[in-house]
Amino acid sequence: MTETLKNIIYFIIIILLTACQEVYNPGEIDAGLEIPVIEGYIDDGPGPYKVDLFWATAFNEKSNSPIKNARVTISDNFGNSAVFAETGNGRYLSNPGDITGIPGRIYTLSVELEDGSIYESKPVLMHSVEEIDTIYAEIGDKDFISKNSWGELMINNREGLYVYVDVNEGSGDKKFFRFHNRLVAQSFHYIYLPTYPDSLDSSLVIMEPTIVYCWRKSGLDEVVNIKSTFNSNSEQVIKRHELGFLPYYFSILWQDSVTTPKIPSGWIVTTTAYSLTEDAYEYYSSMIKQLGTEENIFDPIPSQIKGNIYCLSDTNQIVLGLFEVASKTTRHTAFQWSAGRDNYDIKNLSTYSAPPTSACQDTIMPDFWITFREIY
Amino acid sequence: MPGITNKLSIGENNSMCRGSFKSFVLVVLLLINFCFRIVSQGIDSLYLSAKYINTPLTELLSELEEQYPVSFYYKNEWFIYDTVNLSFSNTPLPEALDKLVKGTPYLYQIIQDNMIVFMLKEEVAIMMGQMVDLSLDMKDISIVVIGDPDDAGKFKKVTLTGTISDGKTGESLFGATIHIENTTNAVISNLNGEYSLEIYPGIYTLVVTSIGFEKALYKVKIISNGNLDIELFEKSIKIDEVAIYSQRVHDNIRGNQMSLVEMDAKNIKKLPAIVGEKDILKSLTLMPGVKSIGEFGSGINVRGGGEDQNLYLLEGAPVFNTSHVFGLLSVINPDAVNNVTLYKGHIPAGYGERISSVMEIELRNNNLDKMHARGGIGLYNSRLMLEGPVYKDILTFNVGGRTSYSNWLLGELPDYYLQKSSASFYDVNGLLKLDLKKHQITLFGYNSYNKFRYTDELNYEYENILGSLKWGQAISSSLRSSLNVSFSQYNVKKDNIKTAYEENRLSSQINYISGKYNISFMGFTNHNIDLGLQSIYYKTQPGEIIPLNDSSLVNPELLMNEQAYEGSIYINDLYEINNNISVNAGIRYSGYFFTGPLKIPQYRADASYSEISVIDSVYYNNGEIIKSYFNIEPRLSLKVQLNDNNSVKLSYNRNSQYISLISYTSIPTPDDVWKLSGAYIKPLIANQFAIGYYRNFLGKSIETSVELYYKKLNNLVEYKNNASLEMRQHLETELINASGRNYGVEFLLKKKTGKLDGWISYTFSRTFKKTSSLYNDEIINNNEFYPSSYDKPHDLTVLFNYNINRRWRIMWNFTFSSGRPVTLPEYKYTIGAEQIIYYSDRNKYRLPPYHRLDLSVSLDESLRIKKKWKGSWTFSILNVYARKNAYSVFYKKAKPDKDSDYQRFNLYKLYIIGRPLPTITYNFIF
Repeated sequence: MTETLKNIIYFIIIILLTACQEVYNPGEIDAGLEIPVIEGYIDDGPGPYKVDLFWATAFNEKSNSPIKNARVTISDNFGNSAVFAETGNGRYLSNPGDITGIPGRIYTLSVELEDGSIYESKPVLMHSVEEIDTIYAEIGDKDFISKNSWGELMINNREGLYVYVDVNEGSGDKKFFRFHNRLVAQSFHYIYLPTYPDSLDSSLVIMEPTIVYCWRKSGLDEVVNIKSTFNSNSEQVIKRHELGFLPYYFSILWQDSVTTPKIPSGWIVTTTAYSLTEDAYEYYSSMIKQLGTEENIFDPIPSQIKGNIYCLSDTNQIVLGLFEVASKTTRHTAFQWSAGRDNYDIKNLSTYSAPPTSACQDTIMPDFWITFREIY
Repeated sequence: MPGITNKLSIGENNSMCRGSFKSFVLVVLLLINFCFRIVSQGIDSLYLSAKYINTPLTELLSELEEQYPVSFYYKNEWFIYDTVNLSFSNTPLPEALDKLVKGTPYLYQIIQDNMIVFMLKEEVAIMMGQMVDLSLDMKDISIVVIGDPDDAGKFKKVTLTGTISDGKTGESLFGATIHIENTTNAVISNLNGEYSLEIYPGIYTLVVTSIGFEKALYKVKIISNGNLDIELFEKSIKIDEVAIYSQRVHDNIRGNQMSLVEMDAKNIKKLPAIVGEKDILKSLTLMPGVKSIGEFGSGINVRGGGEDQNLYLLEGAPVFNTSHVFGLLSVINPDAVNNVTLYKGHIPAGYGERISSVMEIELRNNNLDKMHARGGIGLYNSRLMLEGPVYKDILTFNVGGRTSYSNWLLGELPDYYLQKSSASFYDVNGLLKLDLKKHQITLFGYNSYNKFRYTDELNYEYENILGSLKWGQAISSSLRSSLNVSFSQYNVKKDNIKTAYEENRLSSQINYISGKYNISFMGFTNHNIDLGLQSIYYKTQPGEIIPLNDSSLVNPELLMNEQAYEGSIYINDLYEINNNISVNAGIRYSGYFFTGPLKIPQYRADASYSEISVIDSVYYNNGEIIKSYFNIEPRLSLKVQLNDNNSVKLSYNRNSQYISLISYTSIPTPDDVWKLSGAYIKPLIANQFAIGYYRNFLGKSIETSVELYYKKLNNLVEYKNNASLEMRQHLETELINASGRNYGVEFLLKKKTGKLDGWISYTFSRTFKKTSSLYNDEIINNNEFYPSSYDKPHDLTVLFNYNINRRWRIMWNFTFSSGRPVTLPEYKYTIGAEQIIYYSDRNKYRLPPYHRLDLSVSLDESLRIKKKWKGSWTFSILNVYARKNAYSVFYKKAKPDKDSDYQRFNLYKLYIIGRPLPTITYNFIF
């Protein structure tokens, strides 16, 4: 093909393919209202319970401002109520002992703003929750997708454990759960620290291997993990619901480059199951769908996410957020697996005190460390 | 004088004066002692000297009244379009009047020396007991006698029936017009070429016309009921393209059908060509009440209906996806089409299945004596069609096809992503017709295939497979039957190929088989009765997902097939009460049965349909009825022709639809799911009322019409907020039962003749939906009416052709419409680490208005019939002033950086043609 003909073809194609996309400014949108976002929460734990208040931001703006000086109250159907104290940055906390979440009771959140407007949740029943039956794992691998510095998609396949949960709630109505999972991943390695066997001769130095314990603390949930039961043999059950994936290798916070290979030595998964109401379940479902769009033009037309809080003083006032009332149960499960093995170790822990942050320490095994085998 | 009305009152109130005018005529006739002309000495002595050029007759008569002591009596409507080109030089007034009425259906009487009364010859003759003679002076044409001469005078009114056919091929001609010269009496042949004309006994000239055929004149003497079969012959200069009309010529006034858009042979070549080709479906959107979503986008929206509410019948088989490459072109090859009819208001009872419109597309099936070919070469695709005889006069064929070659072009583009993209299609059609005169059998097959791939992300493939067998039989001169067995299949596959990890193929399918038997009976005078029955079998495969490679983590899943049966019976009568009033009344009764095998979930009674409200499930065996629906669908239309240039039409329609296309994306996609009505999804029901007024001006060269309509819709399928439709066996958990109301007014002004022709159409319309649920997840916009996605209140088209000469033509086409409703983000907030968007109420906002100007210059083919190879060129520029019309707005997550204005979400606008787009096309016939 001659160069001239090629140029003609390019010209034709460029003209033909004039379709394009560009950032769209819709102009005026009705975002001039002050719309409160109310995220309230109470469970059957000891508290304190929290309510976060802030203003929704217009789509094309960047600020995000908290709501100050609000009067926040949670009351139950037994006449108990608690006024929450403002702690700053839009957060309000209950005082210890003012109110306690008890399954079977109905709770209502009330928020009065400085301008006198009053917001109230639907009365929400705190459903009881049974103990989690089984948490277990299956060996597998998972592709992690990331972009390299050139923006190209990279697939990183990693081996590890898929963690699942089974729940049996017995007979009765359908139950709705939110699972929240925290992970502490353990690994160890050795470094060589200088020791001085002869205290008089500092020139005599022996490099002794010293064990270093490292742990990384993280969440396991990508967005929100919810699941409802289904009827199986007249029992409300959840079977093989995935809680997350535990990759065998994980990065740790240790700067010393002179080390032995880092050996993963276990994962401790703390799973809390919250009993949700149907409204809360639908709220989280909508949120997951919105966050799960595939970023292309063929995605579904987006929709609103509706919560359970309303404005009493102005029924047309939009209110965002959710008042979640849930009882909860927690399980601590420790897993250990080495790449190449066809089985894994599991320990159900009655208690577990997770470290406050990710860190490493040498020589002395941390109190919270879970061992499966002897460490050499 | 009793009964006499002056000319003003006659003209002002036609309906009131008709009876009195007849009385007046009788009195006049008695007074003049059965003498046709009494010429008084007084008027004889008046002389006229003047020259009149294009002078309106009414003006001339007024002038005479001023100049002479005479008064004229007539109906204004008789002379409103008559002009005079005569010169008089000292001409006696009676002689001048003789010249004025010569060749017209009028005569005049002079009474009391100064009163000149014009009368219709026909009425006078009837009242005088004489045979009307309204024939033209056609000495070279022999007279055809209808009826037995012995019956002369026995009948006051008689019926002339017959068939109009192509004299060369013997094919029946649909839509041919028979007009009795010098009267307002005219009829149009039906689908079988048959006509029926009620007339007074007399001598007439019949003028028979049909597009593409020579006009035929028959001088007939009609004595009693009789039959006259008429043959027309093609014009020696053949005009063979497809043209678009809102109605056939003059039919806007006389036609019984309202809200009708027809395409026939003539002018589509004058329409703009997108990517170098005329498109029949897109051309329809230039007519009032018919819209599309944009440059792309499959299907059309008729009077606020969704694209799935239109029944596209290609040779009797329904097309489930009418678009090539997301609507770049429609799947109808214009070369192959003979006739297109779109019923957008009153739909005869013979048609069911959809609630908004029915579009009947007939392919060419001409009986040719030799092979012909036609085609076109464009930048994007080319087409070729062959037609000819297999066995002369008995068996003919028609095969055609189109294919695109964009892949070759894309591959040449120096862009990595576009090189990896592809968009291609083809369609092929074939038709075989066996003509045994009394029996006609047509076998039709069609396949359209599309493949669209954008970079390495998505790959779509979809295809229509259609087939039909038609058997028409002329049982007697007044009885015909037709049997149509049709098949349609739509397959779609969507490959998600973004990463090996998630590579999967999602596919679905719908199968349709229909048998329809129709009998047309014309045995009763002025009645054209159709009755018939239809049976339909639907089978859908709602979805199957499979991994596309070994490393894909997608689990294969196959949803259960769904099936249903639909049966219907109908009767329809087109009753011509008289020349001016006709009624088209019909009723259709349909039954629908959704059957197993299928497992149907049972939901809690106090909750919406959702996965979490399932309490049990019931399994139905194969053929076991899960749910049945029955609907009565009355159809009624009335035409009242006020005079030759004015008519009023009304219609009421009730339609039901048992299958819907479920879409929730901002752009319709080929993998939108067709869903059968079932246990929880009810059939769509529409009730439509329409009224129209039609008026022609300037000797019918300008047609105008205004139509108003109101539709009420029940059981519309709307999707829930945050619905998820892929791979759902029980879609009711994602859908809402909604109601709707559409209304609008459509204006059309069309100039059909002269160097400058074209039309202006304007539609104001609204289309709303409304939910009425008690449950939170089924409430959209607080259960208040909200605009549907194709609600575009203002829609204007201005299309003109300037015909420089017979071959060169310039076209101007300007379109303007309101922007489509969209749902936009209004607020954002943060939950945990996630940014959440609060979207507006559904369809609260609108895209900016859409407007575009297209220009084209065409050089038409030589029309000399002896020329073997005929070629034509069209050079078009679309979007002359480079308007970036937003096709859609979508939301895309973006990294918060400078490019995205530090937003995590951003709105993007997609426009299809953002700059002037020139195309050039060469078409040929040989």
